[in-house]
Amino acid sequence: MKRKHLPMVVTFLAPCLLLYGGLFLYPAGRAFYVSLFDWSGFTADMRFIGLGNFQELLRDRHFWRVVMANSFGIIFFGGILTFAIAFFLSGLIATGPRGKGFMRGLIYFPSIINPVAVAILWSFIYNHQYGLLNGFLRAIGLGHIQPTWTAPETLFWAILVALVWMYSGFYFVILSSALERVPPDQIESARIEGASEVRIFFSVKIPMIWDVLITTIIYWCIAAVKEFSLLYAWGGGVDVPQAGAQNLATYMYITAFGRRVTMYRMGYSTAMGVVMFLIVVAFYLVITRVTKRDEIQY
Amino acid sequence: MKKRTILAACLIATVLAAPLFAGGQREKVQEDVLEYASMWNPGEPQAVYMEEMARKFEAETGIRVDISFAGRDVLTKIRSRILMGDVPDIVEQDFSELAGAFLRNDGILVQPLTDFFYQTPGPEGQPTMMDLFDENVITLYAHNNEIYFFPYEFITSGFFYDKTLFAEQGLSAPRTWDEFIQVNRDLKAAGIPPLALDGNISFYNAYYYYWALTRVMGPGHLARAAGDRTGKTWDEPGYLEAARMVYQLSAGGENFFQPGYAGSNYPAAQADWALNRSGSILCGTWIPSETREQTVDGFEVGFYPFPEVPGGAGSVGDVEAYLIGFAVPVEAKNPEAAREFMRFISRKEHANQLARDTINIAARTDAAYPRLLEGVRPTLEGAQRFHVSYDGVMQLYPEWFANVFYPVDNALVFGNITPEEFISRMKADTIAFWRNR
Amino acid sequence: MTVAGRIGKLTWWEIFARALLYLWCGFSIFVFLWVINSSLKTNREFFSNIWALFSTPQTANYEKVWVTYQLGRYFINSLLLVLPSVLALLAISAPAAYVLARIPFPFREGLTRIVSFGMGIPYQLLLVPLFFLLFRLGLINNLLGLILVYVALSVPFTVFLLLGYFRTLPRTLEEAAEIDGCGPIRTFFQIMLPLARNGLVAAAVLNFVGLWNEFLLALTFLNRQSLYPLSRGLYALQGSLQYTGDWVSLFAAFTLVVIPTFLLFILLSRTIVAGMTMGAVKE
Repeated sequence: MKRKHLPMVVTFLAPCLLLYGGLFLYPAGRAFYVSLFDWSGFTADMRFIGLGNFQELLRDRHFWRVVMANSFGIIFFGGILTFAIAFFLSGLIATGPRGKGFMRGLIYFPSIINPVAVAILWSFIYNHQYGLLNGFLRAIGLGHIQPTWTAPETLFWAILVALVWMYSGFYFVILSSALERVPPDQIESARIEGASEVRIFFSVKIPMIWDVLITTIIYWCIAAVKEFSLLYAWGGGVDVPQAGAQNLATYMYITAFGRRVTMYRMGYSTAMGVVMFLIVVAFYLVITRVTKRDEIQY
Repeated sequence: MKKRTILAACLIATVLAAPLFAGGQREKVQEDVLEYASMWNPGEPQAVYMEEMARKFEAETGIRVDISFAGRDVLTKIRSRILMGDVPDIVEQDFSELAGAFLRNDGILVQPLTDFFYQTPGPEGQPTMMDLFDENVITLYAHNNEIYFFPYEFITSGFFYDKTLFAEQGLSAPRTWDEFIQVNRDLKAAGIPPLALDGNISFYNAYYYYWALTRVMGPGHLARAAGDRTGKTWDEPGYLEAARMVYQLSAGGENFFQPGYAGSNYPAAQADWALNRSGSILCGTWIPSETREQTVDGFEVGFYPFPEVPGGAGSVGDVEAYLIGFAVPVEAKNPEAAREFMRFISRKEHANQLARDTINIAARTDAAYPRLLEGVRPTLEGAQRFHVSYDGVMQLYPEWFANVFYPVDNALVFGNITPEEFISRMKADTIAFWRNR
Repeated sequence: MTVAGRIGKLTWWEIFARALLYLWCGFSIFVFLWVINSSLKTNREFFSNIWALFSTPQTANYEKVWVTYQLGRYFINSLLLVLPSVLALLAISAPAAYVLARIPFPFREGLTRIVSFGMGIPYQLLLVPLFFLLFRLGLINNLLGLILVYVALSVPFTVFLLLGYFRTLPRTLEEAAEIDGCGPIRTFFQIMLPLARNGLVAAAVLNFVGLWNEFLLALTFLNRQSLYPLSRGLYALQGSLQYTGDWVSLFAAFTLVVIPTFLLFILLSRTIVAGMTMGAVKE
């Protein structure tokens, strides 16, 4: 290194690294420490319990039956739906219909609407008596079926559809622009060899966008584990969230800071944060190992 | 090139200046300010009322009331402020939630107001402040013989219905469980869903079991079962009987609730009820106020208490007292002004205004009744003993109530499990809950 | 196209594709129009028939939400929060990204990896420790506190994005500047930064949109209603409008929240899309 660069390197990096270190890395590291304590947060009295919080998590029925089930449901089913729709819409829009740019924008738009507003919107859509969906069924003479979309058994799926509607546009834009960059002559030559569209998709297009696809899948896993706003805002905070609207992020928030019910279990909550981190790490390792073809390029 | 340097300089200057600007947002504490953290949201009737009270209070005393409308979640937010020294002088919520948050094992965070109740004269020359209230109601929430909370609004729960609709159907308000079932059958036969319920609100669903149990066994038994680590209490027959009553109403029994009630998103079912599309709704006395916007013409609000059961230890003389009011944190900077404000809004004219403007019952016993709640009056006047809403479980065992009771109770109310399954799951989950602690 | 059949110039597949696309977009448009229409009704009109057109536009709904329910204040708070955050973020991330991208020094690789590592951490992990850190600093219920948090948590993504951008610039530029006697710091401000303008704009816009919609951190760190930004305020407003049974005002609130995003989107959609794909493809 040229010595004359040293002052510049330091001054350019210092503010960024100080803030990042102080308000990101330090609390992240401290989280692992806090997760080993029984602590109500507002007292200095932290009781060391080792892995006690994690043991309690293992035995916490609500945590497994509802919270983890929903979180993994969002990751897997939400992921499959989101990517399927994103690919499908990419295929549709690649046929070059009129108003392509407009439609692309419209499909993307939900992903930048405020998620609290999305929660409000979809609760209007699903509302049993005054909602759009049942209103539509009544209007076309199917008033007798009128499902209860947000019944406890289906609430999770109803929310999942709203999530997919919100997110699929984002993945659609990334995947469709990656697909557009696939050289047309390769597709053409495959076509001349008599390959079907499905085959072209899987053996020409997918390999060409492989790196983008893996990156977006990892991104989805992180985003899906973190998902909070839409679920927390569902129903407007009148009551503790129903089972179908709880996931890791909302449960850990409520365990720490409460909603109507005060709990202040900071250690237990942070243990869930650690679980979230471990889930992301696990997905990252599995996905990069399983899909490894070349080095993922940065 | 110069322009860009200037641009960069501007950018950096803005960035440096912004935090200063933002930092300037912190509010200074002055001597003559009363800080009030409220459970209402801006725009709600009580919020509008309190803003007006604050204005009048300032005009009279020169003390500015700084209200922060925090919404129902006020208590989960207030602890950090108290411990940061940013202590409000008044915190407001219903008494169960106040007790759950402030009267905890690890310390009592609010000042006792016992002296204020018994040694301060009332606003119109009454010997003490306590003379304004029903002492039995206030002391329900006492803790170690001290009173910590000061009420201004009284709430109870029971069935609300439209008198006009009942009259058209030739029905009258039921008193016993059998009459209640008959009324519901008649309504159902007439094509009107007899009961309205927004199933996504667990504490509305919980009304049914808590009330049924209170009528069968009397008050105090839900709390007893919740606190029993062995779970054996759930084997007593009264618990099963109450579960059977709830089940009879549910989709598993006679299916009296409006179609799709399990997934009904608040406030759809109560809007329906106000539009005369269902019979009765089991709810707090806030319901006429909440449905004011939707109510159809000719709707005349009636009330009947949860029906009695033959041989039950409870009766309609058992009335729920759910109070909304104030607590004064230990380190409040201006506790004297807080007391003065409490005395101020307890004036008869102000209590009357609360009743009139917000359509709720004032805590002061001699205040006017809101017209829409006249129907509740006989029940209150006939009260023999009062009990805390949800039998106090919400304040005693908040986590148990949210994570054990709600899920199992919802399943019962939705008719997804039988009364026997309800008891066995309550027992098992309660044991598991306590084993974990 | 190998898919059989044609009508005029279009294949069956193309017709099918178009129909589905129109359906998907039509659904979104219809929903938005329905909400706007409902927001102009009275509650009684809405509850008696959800399909009917409004009779006289109830602009009072909008006024109520904006003034009485203080949506206007939430907007201003959001601006006060998000604009300084984005500017500060760029001001510290751009130099850092530049140094990491183009100036060789020891541990450069390691530092770059540490910074990008933050992108993989769900920030809920640090929610509780961060809360008590800010608590000790007296920065709870303080816009400055939340700004610092927003900046710190957005550093990894922003640096990463800009790093990719700086790397694409040709090396000859710096060499030429050096020959002209231009110091490295001046080179950065006068040559490299202007060239990276598109990257900066993309980073600014993407962070702006993300922070504008941020909910969890605002919920955790701001408990004073006078400080609420938009998401938090809308959440509070949803609660109060439900308690008062005032659905049409809730529709109006939704419309007011979505319209600025929509306008921003119309103006900046190209930058947003370009920035997004740039981030993904560069990785």
